[in-house]
Amino acid sequence: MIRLCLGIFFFLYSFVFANSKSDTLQSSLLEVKVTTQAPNFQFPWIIKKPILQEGVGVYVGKEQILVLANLIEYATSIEVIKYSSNISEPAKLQKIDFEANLAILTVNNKKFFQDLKPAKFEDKVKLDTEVTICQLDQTQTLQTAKARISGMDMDQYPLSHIELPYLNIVSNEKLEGKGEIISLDGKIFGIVYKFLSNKNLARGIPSFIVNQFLEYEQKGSAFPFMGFQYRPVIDQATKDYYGLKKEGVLVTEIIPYSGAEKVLQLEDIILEAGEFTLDALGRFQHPDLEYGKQALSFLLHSGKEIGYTKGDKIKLKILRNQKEMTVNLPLKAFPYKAIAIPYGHNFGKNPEYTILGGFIFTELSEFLLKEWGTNWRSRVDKKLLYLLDYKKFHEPKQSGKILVLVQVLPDDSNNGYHNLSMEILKSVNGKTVKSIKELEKIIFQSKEDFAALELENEITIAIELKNLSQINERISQKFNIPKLSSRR
Amino acid sequence: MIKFITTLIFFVLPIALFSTETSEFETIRKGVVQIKVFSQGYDVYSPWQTTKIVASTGTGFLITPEYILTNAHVVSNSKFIQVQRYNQTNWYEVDVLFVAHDCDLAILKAKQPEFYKDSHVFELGGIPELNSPISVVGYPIGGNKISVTRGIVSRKEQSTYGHSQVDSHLVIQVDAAINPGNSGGPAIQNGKVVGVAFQVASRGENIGYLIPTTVVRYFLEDIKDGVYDGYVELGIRTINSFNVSFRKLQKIPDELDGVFVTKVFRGGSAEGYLKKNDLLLEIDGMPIARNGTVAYDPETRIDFVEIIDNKHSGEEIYFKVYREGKILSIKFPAKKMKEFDFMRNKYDTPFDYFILAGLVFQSVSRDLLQEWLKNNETQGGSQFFYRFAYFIEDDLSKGEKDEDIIFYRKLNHPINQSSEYYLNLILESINDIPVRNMSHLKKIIQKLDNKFIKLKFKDVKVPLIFNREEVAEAEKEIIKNYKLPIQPTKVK
Repeated sequence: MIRLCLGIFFFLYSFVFANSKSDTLQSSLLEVKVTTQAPNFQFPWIIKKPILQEGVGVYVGKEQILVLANLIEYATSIEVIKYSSNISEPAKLQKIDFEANLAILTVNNKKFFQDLKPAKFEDKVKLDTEVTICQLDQTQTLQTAKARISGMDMDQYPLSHIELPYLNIVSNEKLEGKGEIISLDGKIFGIVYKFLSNKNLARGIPSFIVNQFLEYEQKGSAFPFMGFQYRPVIDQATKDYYGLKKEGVLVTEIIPYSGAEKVLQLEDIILEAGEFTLDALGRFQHPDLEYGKQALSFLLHSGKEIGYTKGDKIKLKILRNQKEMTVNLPLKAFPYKAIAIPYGHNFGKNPEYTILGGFIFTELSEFLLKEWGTNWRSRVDKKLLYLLDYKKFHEPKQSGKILVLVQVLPDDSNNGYHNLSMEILKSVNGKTVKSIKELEKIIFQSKEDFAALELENEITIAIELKNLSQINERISQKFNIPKLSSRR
Repeated sequence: MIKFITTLIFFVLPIALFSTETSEFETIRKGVVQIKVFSQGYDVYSPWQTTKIVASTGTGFLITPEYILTNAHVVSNSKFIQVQRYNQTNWYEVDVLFVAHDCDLAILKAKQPEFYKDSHVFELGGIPELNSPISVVGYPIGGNKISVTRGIVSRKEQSTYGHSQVDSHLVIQVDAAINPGNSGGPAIQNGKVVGVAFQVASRGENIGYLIPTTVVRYFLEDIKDGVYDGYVELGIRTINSFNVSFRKLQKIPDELDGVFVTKVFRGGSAEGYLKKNDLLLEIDGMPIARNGTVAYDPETRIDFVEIIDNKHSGEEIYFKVYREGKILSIKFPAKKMKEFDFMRNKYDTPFDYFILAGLVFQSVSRDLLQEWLKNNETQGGSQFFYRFAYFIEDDLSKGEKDEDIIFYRKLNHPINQSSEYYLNLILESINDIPVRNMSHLKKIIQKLDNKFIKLKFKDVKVPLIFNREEVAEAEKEIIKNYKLPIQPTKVK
């Protein structure tokens, strides 16, 4: 009898205990309400309609609330609601890491945090386990869903340029991908950032990435960028050609201004990184057996736990010109200067543009091309698509952006040019122009009578400079454009 | 008496008129030809294979006692053609004498002279007036007998001919019902041919298109020497001269009209004669307006390039040009730009290809692009789509290559397992030798004797490597596994 009671007692106890573990999580979670107003990259003086989005915030202590960066990109107003009250508290951005898709919010009213419990993100994740996905619902009650972590892979998060590890999640229930926490027995293994409803798959940022983000106190992203691209070497012919007798990966591209630029060369073969030997696919054996084999990018981008942090140097054993040698690769920040056509994120900034005599100029970017809707890849000009796919990065020593004439606001002064649209600007008065700033400088500081703007299709636009202010004024009035330039 | 005569007039006259019309049609139908074609296209994706054989019909008409005129698209890729006229009981085999893919016309000739017994040869008329009535005669689908439809001329405009998808010439739009099978048939006005039916509006409304007699005459003139040379290209891009600021910048006197040259294409007629920023004032003595039009006749203005369209290869083009403060007279011969051939749909010729270690190479062509799209390919694409569209525009050949060659398909074999990465990219060089065209590629392969074959592709800095001897061995297996014909050019 006593045994039976004890059995029942322990059964009930574990049941209650399990629940209370989740309840603890409830006191760390918040509902985040964001009003977003994204810029219009095609008509850059226009801001798009406000959109209200909801997502999950996690209290991580020190008056800091963790959210996904893509939730609050272009936010004009952020509010947070905790479990114990349905009053929304205004919140503001404190820190953001675009490459990790993570951000910290805080709230002015310090009393707000009094009944919140700081959540702890685990240093290690379990890769093959059932989990519970948690968030607060509309009534600030804990809402859960069942899922399973099926593995870990490498890819760029939304907004990111650096590939980082993500958790593969399988779930039959509908998830949001707005920052819900991934938990098991009260332990937090990550937050969900993407959900593909037609495939029952989701992706999560692993907890150790969150921790690296939280611990990082300097400027920029917590995560370095390897600075090169590589390809596996699996066939014998390639191995013979390079004199490769072991296993390794071939360096196929080096990004200018990166840590790799001065250290590696094209066609180097990387054999070892740090204390790890690479296999033919470029994977190394993670010291934590649970993680199995991971990609080289895991080590170089998120290897802090293994001892390779941003700012460090990692020894690479390479094969170059048929000889083995060692180089030291500095783990530096992503070289934004190397980007010719922006993609991923724009640091939350509005597009650079200027309207001169009715000619709208802006920077060529993936964001601009995406304004053509869901099928933008089949709708945009073939040349611009090609440049985006193959010429995103500069050649060494080059920098700047590509300027595009988006459209012409018609006026008598620009008669004859009204049909021009999405044409690349080649030069102004014979000089190549790499930024809106430079374009405006040439135009407004010119002592000539005319500015000759040559497009890449070889049509030349002439602007009579003494009339420019008048024309600008006229156009600004007629088309209701409050600001003719992003710089003024 | 008067009453009798009046009645006679009222009765007889209409009957007389009616029988003139019927007898006119009786004559016309003797010149209209029903065409039956068995064609076999070439498979662009698997160019070593033949494709299915398709039966189709069309219409033609006698333009001389021996020549049957029809559309090129009726007889493209034909393997066997027969024709028949009104009241004939036999089908007569024909030969294709001339084909013009750049204006969708062809000439057939019956092998047996008895086909031509009791026939009618059509006379070519001019370009019909807008709103004037025409009849289209032919053998459309839905029956085996000759049929007539009527309509009026609704529009006359320069437009793209669907057969090649790249050439544009004058097109006459009518509201007569034109259906598949009508293609190649005559549009008649006052007993003369004023057009050749060739296209239907894509949405199947009552809109049909005719090739005007100016294009037919151009074709007939061209073939007089026994060879069809083809349409010429001026080879420039222009822009209007409306903009006041640009005129001031170029110091153009107010009284001058015309259009500015913005680009001169390599290989075009104007290369070496016209320059960027030239202001074209006159063509063949006709003043060019600021919007690029000339007064073709007192009622019609047409784009000045249409004047060039009517010129034969070798014929002079006369321009009056304003350049750097001077008015110059510049003349040069019109020529065909072979550079545009790759942009036309190909017919009657097999696709040239080469398979290396299971990698299939072919010249970039419109046919390949269209097939690629149909296959829903996802990898790559933006490189060769851009290069196809801009090859001439952006002078991508730089005078160093004749065509782009693409690795568009992989016949799987262990030897090519690393090549997936390079799929759908343009081949730049083999063992550092830049590849000019398909026959050059084959020559390079034939002469290879290094240990390694290094393939360099556009926009990828690192080459694809093969072991030459391994390739020679592997190719034997690949040929066997995929049932390929043996290529004359081989890796040793």
